[in-house]
This record gives sequence, C-alpha cells and structure tokens, in this order.
Amino acid sequence: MIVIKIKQVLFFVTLLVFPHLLFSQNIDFKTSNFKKDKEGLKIAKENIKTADELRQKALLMVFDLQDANLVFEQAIFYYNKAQMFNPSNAELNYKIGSCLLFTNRKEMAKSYLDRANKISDNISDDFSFFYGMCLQLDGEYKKAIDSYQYFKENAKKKIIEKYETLTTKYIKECTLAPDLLSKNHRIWVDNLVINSKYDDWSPCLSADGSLLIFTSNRPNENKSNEFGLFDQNIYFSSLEGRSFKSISLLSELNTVNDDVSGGLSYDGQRLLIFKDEDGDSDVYESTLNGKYWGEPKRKMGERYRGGNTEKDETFASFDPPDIKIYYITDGGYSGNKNIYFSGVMNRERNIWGKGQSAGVVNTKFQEGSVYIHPDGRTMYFSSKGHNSLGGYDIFVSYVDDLGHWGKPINLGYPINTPYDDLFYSATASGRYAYIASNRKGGKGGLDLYKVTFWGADKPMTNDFEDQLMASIASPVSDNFVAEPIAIKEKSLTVFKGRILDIVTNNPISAKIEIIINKTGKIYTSFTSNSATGKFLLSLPSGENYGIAVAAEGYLFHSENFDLPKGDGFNVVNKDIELKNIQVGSNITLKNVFFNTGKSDIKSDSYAELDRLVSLLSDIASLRIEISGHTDNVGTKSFNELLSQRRADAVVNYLVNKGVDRDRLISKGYGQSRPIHSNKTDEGRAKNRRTEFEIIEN
Amino acid sequence: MNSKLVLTFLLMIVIKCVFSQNTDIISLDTTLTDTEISFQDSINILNKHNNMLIASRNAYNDGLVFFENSDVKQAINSFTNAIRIDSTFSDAYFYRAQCYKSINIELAISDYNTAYRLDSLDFTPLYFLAMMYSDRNLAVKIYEFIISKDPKQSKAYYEKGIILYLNGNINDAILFFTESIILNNDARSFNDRGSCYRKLEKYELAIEDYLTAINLNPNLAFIYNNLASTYRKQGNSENALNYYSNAINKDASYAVAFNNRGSLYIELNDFDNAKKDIDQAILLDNNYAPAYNNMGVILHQEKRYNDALDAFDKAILLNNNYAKAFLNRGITRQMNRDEDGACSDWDKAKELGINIANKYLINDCN
Repeated sequence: MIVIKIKQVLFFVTLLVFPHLLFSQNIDFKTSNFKKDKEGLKIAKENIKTADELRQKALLMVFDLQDANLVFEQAIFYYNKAQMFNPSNAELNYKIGSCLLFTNRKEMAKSYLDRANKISDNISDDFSFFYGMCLQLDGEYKKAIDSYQYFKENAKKKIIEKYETLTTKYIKECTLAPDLLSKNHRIWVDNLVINSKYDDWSPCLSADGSLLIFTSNRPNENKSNEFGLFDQNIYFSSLEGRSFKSISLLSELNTVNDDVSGGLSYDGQRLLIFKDEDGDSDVYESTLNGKYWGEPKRKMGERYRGGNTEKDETFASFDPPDIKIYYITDGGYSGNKNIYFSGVMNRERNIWGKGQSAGVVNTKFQEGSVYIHPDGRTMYFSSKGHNSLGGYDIFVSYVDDLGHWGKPINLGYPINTPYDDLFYSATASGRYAYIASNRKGGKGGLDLYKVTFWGADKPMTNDFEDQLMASIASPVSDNFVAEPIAIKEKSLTVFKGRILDIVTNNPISAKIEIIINKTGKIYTSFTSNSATGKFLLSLPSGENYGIAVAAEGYLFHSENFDLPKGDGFNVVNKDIELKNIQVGSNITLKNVFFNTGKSDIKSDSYAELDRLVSLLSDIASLRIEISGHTDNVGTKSFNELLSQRRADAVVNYLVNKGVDRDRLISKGYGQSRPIHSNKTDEGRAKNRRTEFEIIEN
Repeated sequence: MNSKLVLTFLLMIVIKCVFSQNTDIISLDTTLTDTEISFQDSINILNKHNNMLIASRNAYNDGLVFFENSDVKQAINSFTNAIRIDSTFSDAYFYRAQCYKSINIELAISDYNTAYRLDSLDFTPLYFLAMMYSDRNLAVKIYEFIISKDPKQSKAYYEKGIILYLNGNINDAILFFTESIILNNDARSFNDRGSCYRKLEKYELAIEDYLTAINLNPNLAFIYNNLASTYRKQGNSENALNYYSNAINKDASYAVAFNNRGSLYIELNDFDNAKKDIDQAILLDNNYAPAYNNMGVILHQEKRYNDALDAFDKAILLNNNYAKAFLNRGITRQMNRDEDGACSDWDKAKELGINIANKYLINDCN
C-alpha cells in the first residue's frame, strides 16, 4: 500500500512540474509512432503533402499581395484530414494556424499556433510572424510588434526577405492602430440575425433601407464541391420593423456556379452581379421586371471592351446619375485589385469607356469593394492598404469639384477591426449601413453587420424650476431644452412613389426622367417597377426638379417639384397618375360594383367612376364605350339585359357628373365575352365586370 | 364689516351701562306709564338683539374652529347658523364661501358676492372671488372693478399684473406691478416684476428688482432662488451657486433650491455635488419630479442606463406630461438599444411641445 501511495504522489508531482511531458508531446508523422496504423499514416502524409503544395501556392499569392483565401481553405481541408489522424504534431498545428490567418476563419488561428508552440519550441522560422498576426488580431499591438521584430531579427535572411513587405506593413498597422482606436465613434455595429456559420457577405441595400440583397455560401440545393463548400448564392431580405429577419433565395439569378451580388441601384430595381466566363469575371446587370429579376446582361460594354478586361471585374457600384460604374478589377495597370470606373458612351448600344483608375483610393495592396453613396460625392471602399488596422478596412473618400477622389479616411473602430471588414452599403440618410466582416465573435466566416450611426451626441436636459410669481405657490419649470450639437445635415431626400393608372390605380411601368430645372440637365432616368409601379431614388435637397413620366398608351406627364433643404433626412412620397389615351385600350373597372342581379351602382364604386370622370374632363377628345359583362349564370337574354342596364347605369352616372352623353356609348355583352373560365367561382367573379374602351381620341 | 360689528357691540355696552339697574328684573308693572312701558319694551328688544348677536358670534366662532380643522361640513352648518341669526353677518358669508369653494362653486360665488354687498368697503371677498374664476378675463374685470372703487388698492394692481403675466402680456404686467410697487413698496411685487424682466431676458433689471425684494424682505427663500436662476441665465454660475446656497440657508427644506443647485452642478460637470443636492431634494420631497429627472441625467452621464431609466420612469410617473423626462428617457433608451422605446418617448416629447424631439424622430426613427 505504501509503495502504491509513493507511486501516486510521484505521478501527480510529475503532472504538476512537467505537464507538457504528458499532454504536450510532439508526435511526428513517422512509422515508429504509428506502428499499428501504417496505412493511416501513409494517407495522412499524402494529405499533408497535397496541403503543403497548396499552402505554398497560397503563400506565394500572399507575398504577391493577392487574396488567397480559397487556396488556403483547400490546404486546410487536407491538413485537417491529417490533423484528425494526429492532432499532436507541432508543425501541422502551425501550418493549419498559419493558413487560417488568411481565411475568413482567422479567429481560430491562434489556438493552433498556441498548441504548436506548446508542443514544441522548435517550429518554423516564420512562426513568430504568424503569431504576430494573431496578436494583432487580438488587439495586442505592442506584443504583435515585438513578435514581428523577433521574426525580423531571428529568422533566416531568405525568409525575412519574402515576408518583408508584409512585416513592414503589419508593424506600421500596429503602430498606427492605437491612434485610430482612441477616437470615439458613436456607432453601433450589430451582427444580423440572418447570418449563418458560412460566409454571408456583399450586402447591397436599397436607398430607403427596405431591401437587402447579399451573397452566402450556406448549404443550398446544389452539391457541395470536393472541399465541402457550397457555391455562392444571392439572397434577399425585406425589412421587417427595424431589422432583416428572414431571407429568400433570389432564385432567378442563382445558378449551380457562384453567383455574387455586387451592387444594387438605389431604387432596388437593378442589380449588378459578377459572373465567371472561362476564368474571366465580368460585371452583369439584372433588372427587376415586375416581381422577377431579368436575365443578367454584361455591363460596361461587350467582353474585353469598355470596362471589361481579360482579367476579373467583380464588385461594382452604380453612381446616382447612372452615368458611371465603379468596380473592382485586377485588369488595371498594377495587376492588383483596384477601383476603376467606366462611363457610359452609348447606353442603347452598350458602349462604355475604357476603365480608369479612381486615383488615390488605390494602393499596391488589394481594394476589396466599392460603393458610391446616393449623394454621389462619397465613396466607401475597402482596402488592405492605406492606414488599415489589419486586413481589409473600410475607408471613405470624398470627390472634389473636379471629380478627383480625395485622400481616404479610415472609418475607424468599431466599423473596422484588425480582421477583414469590407463592403459598405448605406441608406440615403447615411444613418444605417451594412458591412461584412470576419471579426471575432461572429457566427462564422464573413458575417453581415448593421452599422448604426448615432449622429451627434444627444444632450440630456436637466431641469430647474423657479417660483417666479411670489403668490403662485407651484414652481414654474424653466422651458430651456438643451440643443444637441448640430446633427450632420444630409442634403439628400429619398423621393419615392408609384406610377399608377388614373382610373384603375393599376401600376404602370413608365420611363421617368428627373431634370434639374436650374440647369435643364437630366439628373437621372429610370423605369418604374411594372408589378408595383414603384420608383425610388435619392436626390440632393434644396433643388427644384422636373419629373417627366412617359408610358406607352398614356398621356405624357410632367410637373415640377421642390425638395426643400431642411434639417436632417427627408422622405418625399409622390404617386403619379397617368391617363390612358390609346384608342382601343380596354380597361376593366375593377372597383365598380352592383348588387347581384341588379343594375344599381353601389356607392363604393363612385371613387373609381369619379376618376374616370376626371380623365374624360381632362382629355376632351376621348370617346369611350362602357361595356357590361356577366358570367354564365342565368339565361343569356337575362344576362344581356342585365349587362346593358349596368352599362347604362354607368353612363348615366358619368352624364350626371357632367360628361357629354355624345362621348359615351353603353353596350351590354352579357356572357358573350368571358375573360376567364365560368367553371370556377373565381373565374365567374372575374367575368362579371364593367369595362371601358377608348374608341376615339 | 368688522367695524360694523364693533359699533353694534359698543352700542350694546353703552345701553347696558345706562340701563344697568334691574334690567334683568324688568317685570310687568301696572303702575308704569305708557312712556315707561315703551322704554321697557325697547330695553327688552335690545337685550334680545344682544343675545342674538352673541349667539350669532358664537356660531361664527364655532365655524372658524371647524374651518381650521378642515371640517368643512360642520363649518358650513355653523356659518349658516350665524347667518340665520344675523343675516347681515358679512364675515360669516365670507367664511362660508371659503368652505363652499371646494365643494360648490356657485354657492361660494353667491356668498362672496353677499359678503361684499354687506360690507362694500372690504374687497377681500372680491379678491377671493377673482381667484376662484378659471376665466382670467372675469378675474381681471373684478380687479378693474376694485381699482375703480378704490384706486389705491395695490393688491388689485398686483393681482392683475399676475394675470397679465400668466397671459403672456409681460410688458403690461410690468406696468401693473410697478403701480403696485408705487402704492406699496412690497418685496413680492419687486420679485414678480423682476420675474417679468427675466422673462423678457432683461436680466440686469430682473436682478435689480430681486435684490430690492431681498432688501425689503431678506427671509423669502424663493427670491434668492429666482435671483440665482437669473444669474445662471446670464452665465454667471458663481453668483448662481451662491444665491441658490442662500436660498437653502434661508429654508433648509426648500427642495426646489436643492434641485436647482444640483442641476447647475450638472451643467458644471460637478456630478458629485450634483448628486448630493439632487439626493437631498428627493429626500425633502420624494414626489418632486424634476429631481428624479435630474437624477436620471446624472445616472445617464455615469452610463448607468438602467438606473437612469428607473429615475426617468419615476419622474414620468409623478408627471405624465413631463416632456423633458420623455425626451431624456428616449435618449437613454436609445443608448440601451431600445430604439422603439426611444422613438415612442420622443414622439410623446414632441407631442408635449419639444421641437428637438421631432428632429430625433426624423433622424433616428424613420
């Protein structure tokens, strides 16, 4: 018993003093360690070999300042197989950790590097470089600098040279970070509930903030690839209350390959995406036709022309006047991903100017996304260059009167972190924006985040009271209310509304031109949604505008309106009613009602009939036929009589409202002209109707 | 009215002295002449009248005791008894009106009018009558009537000045307070005229009047408080703090002054002292809504948002139309990520007349 006790004591002492001997032993991938599973060892070594090649390839891309996320992920895929076989190999842990640092799962890297360090103190020369990256991600900037310095002072010269550009950059980032972090930004950054553990990214927001389109590689109905990754699909979400709570696939645009959202027009009617064709990505545009997104068409000219190169054109943004497209391309002079723009030369023939660099916003590092705010003067973009905190950061640049983009400003913490923070899509008010980030604490991979700008500090109002009138016992409160520091005035107004048929209130797809009356120039032109008649755009406030609306078969409509410059952000709603004037147009008056079997017009029909009166009084040249129709219930002769009486009743109503009887014809067609099947209730209901047809103009 | 009573009383004493011999043993005496009988009857009547007055006075005195003890019902009974015995008893009508004031306005008005009718040299019932009218125009008419009857009635000028002030007619109010001051060099009139100047942002004139008021009556804490707030409006925090402290020294139970000084400390970012003062204001009056609002402001400043919300909740509970508390609670709710709550509070603050709330609604709630 005593002997056993001594043995137990020794065991625990050993555990306490040399725990690494028991738990942290480095196990090499060699036969002596896996005598019982030589086959497993063989497969693991093969996986490591494949992964090493991929890692090497990816590192070369990194040294060339390229993004290598996917290649690193592939390397990790093979490393993980070996890791399953033997998790106690320092070198393997180091390799996995180092790969993770260049993916969207950066926050997992440190645990692997820590384990590698725990298992062995003799790891690769560049270990301290990668460990420095981990410390930088954790915001341990001083320690990170020490680690980078240690690497520079102790690694072999050849290795140091490879990493030199990055080491210098990262040390600079760590040096500048405290200053960026010290600035107090009144901003909330919230992870969206619609995020998944996969990548959710490239948020595109309509100017009124009601529609969010984004991309995700979450599991979908397509097959995953050999690395277990699903293809990228485009999703959308509509604002419910104050947040996006549910998502739907934007099925018309999704294919079995990657489909990535790039930029949404401010009215939410056109979407820029990019598609790959034989290894060459170009920007495409899809238009919302009613409820459905149309076939994407190549934007910025034909293939290899205009803004398109033999390299990749990817994320893009409209500009508010719809004259230029800003986009990310590696087809520029530097060969790195930079921001370029191309201007339209002939829209009908899709002729666009050759891409031009956006200037000082570009660096020798990667620019990852670009977004032109609805104000047309502000560019938000992401870059690994400039004074990034680490990885991609989001910057803002303002254009001057000559059209030059100014020196980028880092948006600072909490929008930016040492992780990758990219994309930016904002409401016209500028109060809300959506970004993507692989920062710590997310749901996994890239996540979507909502950025809320608090605006100026809102001062509290303390209260004091005085007994101003001696004889009035109750004190009188001072009426002073603290004025806040001026809230940044956004001189933008969201101008939204619907184009509707004046009589039926049906939505109309109409071409709309907005003209700045002061200059007579067309500010922008666009088409209202055919399914809803809706349009939405943001316009600089403090101007007088003209709006010209044209739709086939309808009377041209134009009017002027002021958007006053006021405090803060405004929304102006304006519905425009168009008058149908085309001879032969046959319009169902859906809101004209009669009691069953009778010809007395019900009072809830008057509104629609009054709109018809208004049309007839506005356009004196119109002559119309009012026709009554029934279903097939009842005898033919009865239905003919009934429909005639109903048509007569409508004509009488119009005459009573002042319309000349000579301009009106009434006709009862009975059941002879069904527009739906009479076999169903629904069909019969549709057949019972009153129509008018323009017979002369 | 009182002089009438006194006269009556004196007459009774004289009569009693003159006819003190055997007045209470006057009995039927057939030997008396007609003149003597007539004299004896008059004595009896006088005695009877004297007893009535005594009974009436006793009932009136009982009424006053009930009135002081807030036993309005019994007081009314007693005053009614007094009036029944002596229908010319002006004071009894007046005090019965005071009793009716809270339970039957019409009866009160009637009694005030009767009291004045019975003693038209005494305007007291009219002043009370004026104060009872919610229609300020009616009150003004009464004050004008008093002035027409007696142009030296400083109180009528003063009271009319207050109504003009409440109606926002500050310049005219100043004229009437000035008239009142001319007739009666009174601290309250100076205070009120000072407050008019303050309203017109003529702070120097306001300060001058407040200081004069303090000279005339150095014991009125509220004048120090008003003076402090005027200095505060001028941006003279040092004088403001001093005079708030003076107000507190004059009346250590003056919650308003503690709250005001605390609120000034908030503006001076001296949150420790602010907290002490606001705590004291709440201790003195735990139903004082502004103190809870200010406590909320301090707690918000300390980023203790939940505690701040409790304070604002309490302020709003005490005054459900407290616009500033709604405005502030909205700000705290926003910091606490309750955006819907914030917008709802700003909506209410806007409804209650705070313009800045509308700005917040436009910018943050659309």
